[in-house]
Amino acid sequence: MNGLENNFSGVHKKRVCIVDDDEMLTMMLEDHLAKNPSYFIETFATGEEFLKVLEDEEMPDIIILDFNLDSVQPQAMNGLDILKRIKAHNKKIKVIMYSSQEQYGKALQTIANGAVEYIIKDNGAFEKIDHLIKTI
Amino acid sequence: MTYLIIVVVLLAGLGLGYYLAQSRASKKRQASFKFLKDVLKGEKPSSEGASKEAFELASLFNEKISILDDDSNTESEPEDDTAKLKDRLNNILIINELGQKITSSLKLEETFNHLYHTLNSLMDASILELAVYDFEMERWDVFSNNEDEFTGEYHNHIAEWVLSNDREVFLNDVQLDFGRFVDRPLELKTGEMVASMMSFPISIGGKARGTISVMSLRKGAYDEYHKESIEHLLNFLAVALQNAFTHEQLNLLKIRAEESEKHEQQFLANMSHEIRTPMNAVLGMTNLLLDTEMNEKQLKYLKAIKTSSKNLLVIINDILDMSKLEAGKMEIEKIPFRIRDVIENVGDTNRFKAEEKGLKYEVFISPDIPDVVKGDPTRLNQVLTNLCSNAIKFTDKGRVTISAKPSQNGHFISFSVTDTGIGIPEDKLHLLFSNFKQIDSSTFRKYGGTGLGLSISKTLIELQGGKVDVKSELGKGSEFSVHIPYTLGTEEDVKSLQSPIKSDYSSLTGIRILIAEDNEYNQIVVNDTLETLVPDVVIEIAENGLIALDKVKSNNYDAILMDAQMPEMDGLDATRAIRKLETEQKANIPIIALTASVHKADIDKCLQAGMNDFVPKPFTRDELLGTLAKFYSSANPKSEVKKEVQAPSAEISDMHEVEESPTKNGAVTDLNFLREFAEGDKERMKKYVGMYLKLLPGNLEKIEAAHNENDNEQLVKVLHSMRPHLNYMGMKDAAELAGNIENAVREASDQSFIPEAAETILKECKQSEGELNEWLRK
Repeated sequence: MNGLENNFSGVHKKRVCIVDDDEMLTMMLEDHLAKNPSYFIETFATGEEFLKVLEDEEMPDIIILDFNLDSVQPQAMNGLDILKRIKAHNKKIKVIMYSSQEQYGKALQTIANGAVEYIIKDNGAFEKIDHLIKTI
Repeated sequence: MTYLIIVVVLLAGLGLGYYLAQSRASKKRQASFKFLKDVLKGEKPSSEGASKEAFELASLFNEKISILDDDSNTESEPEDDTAKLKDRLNNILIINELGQKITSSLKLEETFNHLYHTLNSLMDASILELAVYDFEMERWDVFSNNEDEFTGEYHNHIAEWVLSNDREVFLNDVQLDFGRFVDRPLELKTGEMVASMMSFPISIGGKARGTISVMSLRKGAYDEYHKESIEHLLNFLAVALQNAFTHEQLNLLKIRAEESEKHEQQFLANMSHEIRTPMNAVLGMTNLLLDTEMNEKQLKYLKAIKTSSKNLLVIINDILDMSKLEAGKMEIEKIPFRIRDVIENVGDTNRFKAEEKGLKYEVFISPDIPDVVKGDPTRLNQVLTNLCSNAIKFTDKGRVTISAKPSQNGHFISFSVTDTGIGIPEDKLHLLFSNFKQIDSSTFRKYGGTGLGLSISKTLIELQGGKVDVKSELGKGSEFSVHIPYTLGTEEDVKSLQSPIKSDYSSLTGIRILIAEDNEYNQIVVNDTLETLVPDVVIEIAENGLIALDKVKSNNYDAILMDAQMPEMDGLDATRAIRKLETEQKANIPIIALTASVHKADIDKCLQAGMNDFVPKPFTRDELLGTLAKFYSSANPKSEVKKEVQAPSAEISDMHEVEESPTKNGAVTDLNFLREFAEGDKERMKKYVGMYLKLLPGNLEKIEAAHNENDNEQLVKVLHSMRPHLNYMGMKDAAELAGNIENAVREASDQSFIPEAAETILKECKQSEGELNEWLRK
């Protein structure tokens, strides 16, 4: 830390998007993360809604994506598809996948496709996600 | 360098020439030699541009050539000489390389190691010493391979002589010649005697700072070429020493800088306390005075004092804020608040000032802005007040308008303060937000102020992720805008916001208060304020934490106002001690911190020590009495004490009850996880429980349908999304069963247990519905 430097060049808020159709979980996660004033949090219940955001000029910084995302349309776009879309759009966006399933294979798949981490939706998930966002 | 190569070539030429000479007739021989000599003579360079060694070698050549001319029997010499010259060249190259290595070391130990390795390939350096003398501490730092050490102290060492006299010593028989330098010869602890020694001073800036000494146990170990090698090394050694000194100094500077930074932070914290404490006395006394009877003149003067003190407080806060911002220690809150409340508050302070000047003060709040948002209301207030008071300051006629509306893209709220004032020249717009610069010095003198306000405002806004901008036209007016991204809050969030308790403090009648405060004037301020405003109040004063503790032990009080910083025992320690008292009633007494610091971290410390709430210094009457009223009501003198408080002055007025875990009675739900997650906030817990109950019927329907149709795929799908909910409600059994079902279907293993498991889950879910609904009603 350099106390004498001029810190006046503005501080960037992290734009965090939660993409999950589980209303309750989304609410709890948003509340937990919102304690940190440097996050700007948005939530999306479907993949389609979220993908519109990618068209924004200001890219989201971090995306928390449900692996088993249900979609409205018949051609189901699940979490993995969305992950691929995100990475195709901009490699720099960090994506954290989470899911109720503890499948090792699926986890590897998400990491192979560019996810930062694969988190299980258990009681410790909120802390883990919070910690991850701070460190990535 | 190229010259040396030429010289080597000539060497070869010389050798060849001699061979030719031997095998030819003498006349021919003479001719060839003369030829060679002429060539060589022609090649002799001027002394500039060549190193000393090279020049010496050139002279050496000429010497040799003239010897050859004499036709003496020097058959073996040229070859020896050749070898010797080759050697010397080689040595120079080696020394140069060594020099590079040692000048790039930062530590003398490294330097010594390089020296020791290399020098031993060039000479007998059985004992090598690199010694540096610290003139300040008057002691030697010696790097040596000789662990045996010498007998006698270092100052009786020849190296000491070398340093003091700044002269070299070159002895090939130390036993014989030592007398010129030291009292006795150099004897190792092993009894061996140093026989040959070379010692040179290493000088930096013309002053001898260290020595290098090479020693051997043999006599006659060193010749002029060895000496030459070490001499050649001296410049490099000087650089190495210099490097080591600089490196050490840099280290020291770094340590000092780190310490000064720590001191600076401590200073900031102390300063805040030192400054706010007397300010509290000034403002407090002024207020008390205003309550007394006085004549018109006194009233006039006193009001002037009050206004000036308030201004002074603003300036002081600006400066303290600026220090905090520069030290990177400013914290931004995120709590729910009403935008309208903040704007109203800003109006309260500024409307009067505007109207006094004959200006119109207008407020415009768009109906489209959300009622409740989450952010930092204090800082918003600070920024808007700053902008408003600037607008009023620089406007002589017309109006000042403050407005709030959602931004174009909907994510931000835009606040603007518009005025019809003197405006700002375009080329000065960019200066607006920098420290201390006003547009020009005449405005500074005319309008006053620290000039810090806008700069602080800009940083505060940017820390929240927002932006500021300004539009202005000279002579017409200016518009300052602030855009802040807020997340939405709900009505429920603010329900628990405390509404300010206005001036009726009769509920505090009869309260017994202990004031723990070391500053005499502050004691008076608190004491008199309470006495004036609260009927039948009983007050006692303690000058420090120790006395406070004693008084609590021997007397009964309804509340304690505790200054955080006191001598002997400070407020935090006193609080901790009180909380440990045996009598429960005494241990639970409400303790309110009187704190000069408004750092979140410091307030947290107070709360963690066991304090219930805090009042900032300087405080307003409402702040002091309002906070007390939270903990005491004459109707109910033994009010319960709050245990968990997050942002006490802004939230929660109900008492929390500590909940018991329901699982004792065969219940399926267990709210302990949720309670911890919501940090004890019951409203928040209710929100989550409500959401669970809302989603439950839909999920149950799906489970039932899948169960009845024996559609395991469908069943797994529902259970998969329900499982986290079950976990968060503490329904461990149901969650486990759901997991088992999922695994069985996925791995296609035995699925016969599934129908029964599904029934159990359904049953438990229905039970959870009942339990949670009942909990909600409590």
